[in-house]
Amino acid sequence: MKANKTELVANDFVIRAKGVSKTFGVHTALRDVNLDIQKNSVTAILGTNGAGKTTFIHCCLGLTKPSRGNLSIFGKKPGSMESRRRVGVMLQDADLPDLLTPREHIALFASYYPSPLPLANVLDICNLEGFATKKYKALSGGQKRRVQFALAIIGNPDLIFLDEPTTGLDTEARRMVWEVIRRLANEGRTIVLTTHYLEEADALSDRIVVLDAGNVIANAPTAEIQALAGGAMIKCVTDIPPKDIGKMPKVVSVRHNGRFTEINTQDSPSTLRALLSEDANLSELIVKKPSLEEAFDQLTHSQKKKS
Amino acid sequence: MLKTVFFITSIIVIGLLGIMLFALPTSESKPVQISDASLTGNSFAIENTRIFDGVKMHENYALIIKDGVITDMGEDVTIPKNMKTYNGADKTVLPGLIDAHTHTYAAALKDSLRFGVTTNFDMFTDVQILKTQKEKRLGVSETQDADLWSAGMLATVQGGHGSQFPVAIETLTKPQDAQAWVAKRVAEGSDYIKIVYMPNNPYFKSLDLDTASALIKAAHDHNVMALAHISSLSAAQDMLDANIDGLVHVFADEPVTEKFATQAAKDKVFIIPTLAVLAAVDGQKFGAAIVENTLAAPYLTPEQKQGLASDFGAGFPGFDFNLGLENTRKLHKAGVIILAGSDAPNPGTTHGASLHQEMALLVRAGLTQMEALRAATSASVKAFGITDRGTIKIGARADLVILSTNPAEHIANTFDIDMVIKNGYVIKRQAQKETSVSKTSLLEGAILGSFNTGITPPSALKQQGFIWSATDDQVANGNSKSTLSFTAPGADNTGGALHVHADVQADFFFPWAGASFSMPDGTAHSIEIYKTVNFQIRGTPGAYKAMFFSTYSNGAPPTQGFTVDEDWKTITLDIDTFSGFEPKSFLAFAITTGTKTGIFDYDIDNVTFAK
Amino acid sequence: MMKPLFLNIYFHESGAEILKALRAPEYIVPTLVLPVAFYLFFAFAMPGAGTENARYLLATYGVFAVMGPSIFGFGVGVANERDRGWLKLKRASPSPSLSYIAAKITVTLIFASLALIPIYLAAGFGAHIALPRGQWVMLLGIHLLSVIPFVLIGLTLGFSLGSNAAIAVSNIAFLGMSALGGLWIPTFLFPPLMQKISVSLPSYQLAEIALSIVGANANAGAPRMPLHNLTIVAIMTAFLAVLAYWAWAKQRN
Repeated sequence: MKANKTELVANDFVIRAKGVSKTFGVHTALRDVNLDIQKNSVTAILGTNGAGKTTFIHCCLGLTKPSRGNLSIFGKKPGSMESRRRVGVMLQDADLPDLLTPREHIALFASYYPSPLPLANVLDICNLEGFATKKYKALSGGQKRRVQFALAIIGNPDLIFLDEPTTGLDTEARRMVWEVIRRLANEGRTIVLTTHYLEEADALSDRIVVLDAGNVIANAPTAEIQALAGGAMIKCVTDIPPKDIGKMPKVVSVRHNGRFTEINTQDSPSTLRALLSEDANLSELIVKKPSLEEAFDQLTHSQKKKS
Repeated sequence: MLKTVFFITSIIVIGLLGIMLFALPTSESKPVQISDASLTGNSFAIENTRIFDGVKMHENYALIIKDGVITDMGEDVTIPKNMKTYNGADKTVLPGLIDAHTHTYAAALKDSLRFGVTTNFDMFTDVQILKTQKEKRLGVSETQDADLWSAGMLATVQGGHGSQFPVAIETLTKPQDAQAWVAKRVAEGSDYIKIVYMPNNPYFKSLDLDTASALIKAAHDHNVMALAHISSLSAAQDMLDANIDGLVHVFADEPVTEKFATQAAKDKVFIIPTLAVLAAVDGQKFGAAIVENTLAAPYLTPEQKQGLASDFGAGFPGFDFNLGLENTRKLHKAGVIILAGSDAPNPGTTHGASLHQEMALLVRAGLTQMEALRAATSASVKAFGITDRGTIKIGARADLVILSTNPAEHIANTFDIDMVIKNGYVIKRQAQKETSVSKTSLLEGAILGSFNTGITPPSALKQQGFIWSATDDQVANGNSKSTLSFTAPGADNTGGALHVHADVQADFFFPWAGASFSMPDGTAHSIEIYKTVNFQIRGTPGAYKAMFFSTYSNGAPPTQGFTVDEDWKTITLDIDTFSGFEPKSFLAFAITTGTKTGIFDYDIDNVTFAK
Repeated sequence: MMKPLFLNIYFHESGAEILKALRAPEYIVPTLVLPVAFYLFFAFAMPGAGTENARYLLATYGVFAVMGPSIFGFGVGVANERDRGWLKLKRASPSPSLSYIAAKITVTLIFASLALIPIYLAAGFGAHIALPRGQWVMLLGIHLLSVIPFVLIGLTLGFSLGSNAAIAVSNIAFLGMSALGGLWIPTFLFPPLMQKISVSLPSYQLAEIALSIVGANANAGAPRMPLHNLTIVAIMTAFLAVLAYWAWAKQRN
C-alpha cells in the first residue's frame, strides 16, 4: 500500500509526534522530532547507530518518557494499557527467559491480548515448528529473533514496532520476515521498523524517515529514496539550463554548485546520452554513485525545495 | 497449557498441605489418653484426675501448671482458654518421688528421674558432683536429671566405712577437728553432715563417740542437720543421746528398745531404714524381683540390671533383714518419722527403681500404702526442710509422677508409671537397650594359661592382647601387694606354672592380692558359650577366691570362694554361680587370696574355660 | 474489544513461572532440600537434640525455608530477567506488572510449601511434636505469610542490582538474616550488640511469632509477645513495600 496524496484527517495518524525531544543528561537522543505516521503505512526509520531510532521507538512504547513535546499513539498516551493492547513489539536487545520453549513464550504472550492470533498460525507463519518445543536457550541466534518476532505479532496488533527485525537472520529467514511484514501490511496494519539496510526499507516500506543525531533529516515516500538509491549523480560543467536538464530521461533533480551542475538520475547512461547529445562542450564530467548520506542530503534538499 | 501447569501444581501443593495438616499429630486428637508425645512445653493443665498431694488423695481434681510451677489446683478450677489440657481420668498424679538415701554415681540422676524419683538426698558422693548440681535444682529448665541434695564428703576415720572407695576423703580423729571439718563441708556446699559411727564393728574402724558428738554439735552450730550411719542399736542410742537429727539406716543387730523408740519419736529424729539394701546384705534376692517386674524391666539399663542382680557375697552377722523389718515396724508404731531411701547403688539396688521397692518394703514393715507414699514424698521434704517439692500445692514446682493405676490400692502400682514430669516438662521415658555391648567377640580358645614356657597366655589370646598380671587392693587404696613369676615344673610335673607371691595387708575392707587374666585396654569379650572355669592350684593353705569382671560391674565383683592345700588340686567353678557377672561382656578373671591377711605363695596351672 | 481477564493472565504467568522454576534444578534442590536437611541434622542428629530442640527449630527453620525461595527467586530472578531486557519487553506488552509479581509470589508460595512440608512431617512424626490443629494451621499461615517481607526485600534487590551483584547480595541477606535472626541458634546466646541487630530483622520477628505458636519456652523467662512481633512485622513490611516500589520506579527511568 503506497502513500496516497489526499488530504489526511487526524484520525488517520496512528502516531503523532510533535516537538518530541529526549535528553539523557548532556546527550540529546531526539531533537524536536515532528513525525506523523499514517494508518496502514509501513514506515522505515533509517539511521546509523546512535541516531535515535531506538529511543524514538521506546518513547512510542512508553518505555521512556520524552523530555519535551507531545507524543500520542492511537490518540492515547504511549504506554497506556489501551495503546499497549493494540501494539506488538520486537525490541532489539530483549532476550527471553531461557527455560521456556517458544511455544510457551508465545502462549504466555497470547494471554495478554484481547484477540490473539491462533498459536498454530503464528508458529506456522514464523516457521517455528521445527523448534517450538526446544528450550529457548538451546536456540540459535536467528531462531531466537524469529521467536521474538512471533511475540510481536501474536497479539493481532494494529500497530507493530520492529526494532532491527532482521539483524542476525540468514537470507532465508529474512525473506520469511519480509513476507510476513508484507502480509501484515496488506491486512491493514501499521508497521514501524528500524533498519540499517536501505534495501530492506526499500523492499518493505512506503515511507522512509531518516534520523541523524536525533534530527529527522528526511521523511519522504520511498519512491524518492528509491530513485536516489538506485541512480547516480552526474557532475559536470555545461551550458544547458537546468530546466532543460530536468526534462531529460530519468533525471530526478538538478542543481548548481558553483560552476558545476549536479544532476541526480535514476539511470546515468540514458541521462548521459541525452546530455552529451545536447552539449558537445560539456566538460569535467564525473559520474558517481551517491553515498547514503548524499542521498539523504539530496533528499532533504529536495524536501526543502518542495516546501 | 501454562494454565494447566498452574492448576495441576496448585492442586497438588494445596492437597499436600491439606493432607499434611490433617495427618500431623495433634494434641486435641487424643484428649483422653495422656501420652508423653502430646505433652509439650512446661505449661499445661490436667483435669478430671486423682491427685495424691503428698498427704491425701483427691478425686476429680484439676491441676494447672505454668512455666514449670503449679499455679492452681482443686475441684473447681478455671482452666485458661488455649491452655493445653489433658484429661487425667483413671490416672493418679503423685508428687515427684524423693529417695532419702542415695549415692550419686554415673547415671544415678538420669536413672532416678526415669523412675519418677525427681529428687535424691545423697549421703556421700564426690564433692564435684555436688557443686554442679546445687545450682541446677533452683531452676525450672528442662532436664533429664533428678535434682540433688547431698552431704558431700562423709565424716569417718582412716579405715572406717566410707574410706574403702576410690574417692579421696578427708578423715578426722579428734573432737577438736570437728568444727573445722564441718566448716569445710559447709563451705563446699554440703546440705547436711553425714557421720559414720560404727563402734565395735568387726570390719571397720570408727570415729569415737566424742568426735561424733562434736561433729553433731558443729553441724548444729552451722545450722545444718547431722545424720548418722549406724549399724547397731547401741550406736543408734549413742547418736540419739548426742542429738542426732536422723539415722540413715535402721539397725538390725538387736530388737529396738522401747526407750529408744520413745526417745526418737519425742526428739523427732527420722530414720531412713533402707530396707532394700539391708535385704541385699542379708542375701535376700529382692533386686532380682525388680528385673523380673514387667513394668520396670524395660526402663532398666544393663548397668542397673547388673546392680540389682549382684549381692554382697556372703551374709554378715548383725544384718538380719527380718529384724530390720520388725524394728522399722516398732519405730513406726512408736511414732518415729520413717523416710523412704534406697541406698542405691549398693549391690542389690539401683537408682530410681529401688525406691519403689523400698516403699513396698515399708508397707511390709507395717506402714499403710498412704504412709509409704508420704515417706517418699511429703515426709522427706518436711524432715529436710524443703518446701518447693514433695507435695502438690500451689507454688510448688511441677515435679510429678503420673501413674496409670491407684497406688493407694496397691503400693506396687507405683511402678505403673504413665509419665514423669520434671519442672513441668515430660521426661522421655524410653525403653532401655538390652545391652550396649555390640562388638564383643567370642573369647578364642578355652585355655587361658598352660604356663609351659612362661606366664604369657597361649599365643592366640596373647595376640588378642590378653595378659596375666598382678592384681591387688592397691587400686582401692589398700596396701596388699602381689608379684607374679614363672615356676617349673607345673602340675603333674609337666611344663611350668604361674607363681603368685601375695602379701595381704588389712588396710582395706575386702583385701585381696593375686593374678588376673585380662586385656589391659578393657575390651569386652563374650564367653557365653562356656559353662565352667577350671584350674589347678596349690600353695599356702587357706581360703582363696575367684572373681569375674564384666563391663557392667557395680560395687564388689562377683566372687566364688575355695580352699587351697599344699598339694595340687583341680578347682571347677560354674560361671553362672558368679551372680551379677555378665558373660556377654567378660573383662577379666582373677584368682586371689581370701580376706585373711599375711603372706601367701601359690602356684596356678592349666586355667581353662569349658563348655 | 473483549478485555483479557487479569486472572487468565495471572494463571498463564504462574504456569510459566512454575515451569521456569521446575526446570532450574540449581534453584529447586537447595530450596527444597537444604532446609529439611538442616532441620534433620540440628533437631535429630546433634547431641542434645530433644523434643524441645525440635520444637524450637520447627518454628525457626520454617521461616528459614520460606526465606530462600523469596529472596533468591526475587532478588536473583528479577535481576536476571531485568538484565536481559525481558522486563522491558513485558512492560511494552499489555501484561499487567502486577500479574508478573503475583505469579512470582505464587511460585514462591508453592516452593515454600514444598520446603515446609518435609520439615513439618519430620517434626510431627520424627520428633513427635503435637499441636492443636488450629495451631498447626496458624504455624503454616505465619510461615507462608513470611514470604511477603522477604519477597519485598528480594524485589528491592532485583530492581536495583545487576544479576551478578544480586546473587552476592541475596546470599548475604539470606545468610545474615538466618543467622542473626536466630533461625539457627537462639538469639539469647548472642552477645548484646548482636541481639540488638536481631530485633531489627524481620526473620527474628517472624520466628518469634512462630515460636509462640508452637509454644517453645521463652528465653530467659521473658514471655513471648506475638502481637507485638506481628505489629513490628507489619511496620517492617510497609517500609519494605515503599522501598520496593521506589526501586521499581527508579529502574524505569
